[in-house]
Amino acid sequence: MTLRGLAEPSDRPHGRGVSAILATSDEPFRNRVLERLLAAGYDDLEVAELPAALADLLREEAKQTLVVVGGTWPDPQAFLRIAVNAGALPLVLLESSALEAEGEALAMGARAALQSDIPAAALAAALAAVDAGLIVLEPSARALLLSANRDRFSSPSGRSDETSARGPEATPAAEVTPPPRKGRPLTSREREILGLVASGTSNKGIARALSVSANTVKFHLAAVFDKLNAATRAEAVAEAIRRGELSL
Amino acid sequence: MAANSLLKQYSEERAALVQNAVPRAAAIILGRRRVLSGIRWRDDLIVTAAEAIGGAEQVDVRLEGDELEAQVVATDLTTDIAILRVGAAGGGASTATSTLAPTASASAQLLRVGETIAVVGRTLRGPAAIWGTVQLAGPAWSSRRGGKIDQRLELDVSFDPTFEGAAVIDTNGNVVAMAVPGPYHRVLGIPATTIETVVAKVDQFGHLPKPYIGIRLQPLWLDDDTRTKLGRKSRGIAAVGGVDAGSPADQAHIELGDLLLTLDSEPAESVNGMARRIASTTPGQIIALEVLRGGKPLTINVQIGERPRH
Repeated sequence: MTLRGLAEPSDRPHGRGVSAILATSDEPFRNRVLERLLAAGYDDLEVAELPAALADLLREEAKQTLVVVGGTWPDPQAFLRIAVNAGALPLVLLESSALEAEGEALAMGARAALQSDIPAAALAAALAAVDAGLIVLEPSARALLLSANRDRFSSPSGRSDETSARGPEATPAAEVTPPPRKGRPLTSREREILGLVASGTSNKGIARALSVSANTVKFHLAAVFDKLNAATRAEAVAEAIRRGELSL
Repeated sequence: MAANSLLKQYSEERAALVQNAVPRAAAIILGRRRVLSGIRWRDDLIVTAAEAIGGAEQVDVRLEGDELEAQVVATDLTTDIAILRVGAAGGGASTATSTLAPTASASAQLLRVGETIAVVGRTLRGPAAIWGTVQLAGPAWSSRRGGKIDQRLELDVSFDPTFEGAAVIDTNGNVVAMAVPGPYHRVLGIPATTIETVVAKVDQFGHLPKPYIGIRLQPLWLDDDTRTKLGRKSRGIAAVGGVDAGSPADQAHIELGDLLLTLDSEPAESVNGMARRIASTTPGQIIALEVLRGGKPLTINVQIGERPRH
C-alpha cells in the first residue's frame, strides 16, 4: 500500500528534499506514527507494507532517503535490512524499551533507534538530525555506549547461559556474540575490589589493602556479582573487562 | 570360583592404583559445609580448584592422618588452579613433612580419548575414588578467562562437589590432571603440565603475577566502508576507554580513544580476545600494539606489568 501526496509538499524540516518513507506491517503502529510524522511536517509520506514493496520503493531514489521503520521488534528487521542495503537512512521506532532491540537496530545500520511514543516535535528533530548525518538515540541507550556492551549487537545468540557455568570454558572458533546486557555501572570502590580479585588477592587481603572489614568486602563483592550477573570470581572479572569497567 | 579370576585381578589392580594415589589426596576444608579435594603436588604444596577457594586466605587441609593449616599462595582464575602451602605446624614425623617425590606426570604425556582414569579425592570420612573414561581429549585450548590449558580434557565420571580439585590418575598410577566442574555439567581435567607451569611461576615469583597493561577497552562497531579501508575481517574493534595512571600503557603513551588494530602483528579482534591474549602473556614481556590514532596506524611497544595487588 502506498500513500502519496497526503498534502501539498511544503516547507519540510529536512534538508535534502526527500520524502520520508514509513515502512511497517503493523497497522496501529502505522497510524500512530503517521499522525506524528504529519504533525512533524512530513506531509509527503510513503507507506510501505511489505519488504518487497519497500525494496521497490527504494530501488530508484534510495540513497539518503529517510525511512521510518517500526513495530514490535524484531518484525521490522526485514524492512530495516532492505533500507540499509539500499543506502537509505533508517530511523527505527521501537515498541519495546529493550536495549537489546536498540542495540540490534543500530548494529543493523539504523541511524536512529527511538521509542514509538516519541513526541512529534522530538520525532521531527530526530528526522532532521538523521537527515544531517547524525545518529540519534534515546537517553536510556547511553548504557549501550557506556557499559561497553561490546561486540554484541550483530548476532544475538544464546551463549549467555554458558557464561554462568563453572570453570574455564572453551573459546569458540568463531566468536559468537551474545545479545547486549543491561548493566548498572560499578562504583569506584567495587571496581577497586574487583581489580584486587583479578590480581588473585584473598578477601582478607583486600580488606587489609582497603582498611575495611572482610564482611564489607563480601558485601561489595555480592553487589558486584549481582551487577555483572556473575556466579563466580572469574566470571565477574571477565564480564567487567568486557564491559570496560576493569583494566586488562 | 577361582581365587585368581580375571574379575578379581581387575578389581585388585584398580584398588591398588587408587591406594597408591591416596597419599596425594587432600581434603580442603573451607567451612563446616564445604569440603573439596586437592592434590598434594610436592612436599608442602597442595593444588586445588581456584574457583572453589574463592577469596579464602587460609584453609584447613586434611592429609593422611594430619589436619594442617594451609596458606593460599596463589589462585589463577584463568586456569582454575589454586596453590596452597601447608605450614610446618603438623610437626614431627607426620606425612606432611615427609618427602614426597614431585608428581611424576609433568612429562607432557597427553591423554587419549577412551582411556580409563580414576579421580581420587578425599572427604572428611576418608579417601574417595571414582573410575571413569576420558570422554574427550582435544588439543590445547584457551579458557574464556585467558588461561592457556595444554589439553582439552573432558571426563566421563560420576562427579560430585567433593571431587572438585581431585587428582585424576591414569592406569600407570600417574597424576595426569585435576578434575574441576565445567560448563553444562561437564567434568574438565586441567592437565598436570598446565599445573606444573603455574607451580613453576609461583616458585619463581613467590606468588602468581597477573599480566596487566592498564587499559580499559570499549567495543565499537565499524561500518563496512571503514572496515574495508582498514582491511579488517571483524566488524568489532576495541577502543581504549581508559588508561590507568602510571600503568605500563600509560608509560608507553597509549591514549584514550586509540583503536586497537593488532597485537604482535595478529589482528586484535574484540575486547574478549584482547583480554585473553593479555592474560596469556608474562610480566616483563614486551608486546607490540598497533593502534589507529587520528586515522593513522601507530605501533607502540608496551612492557607487560603485573596487576597491582594492593
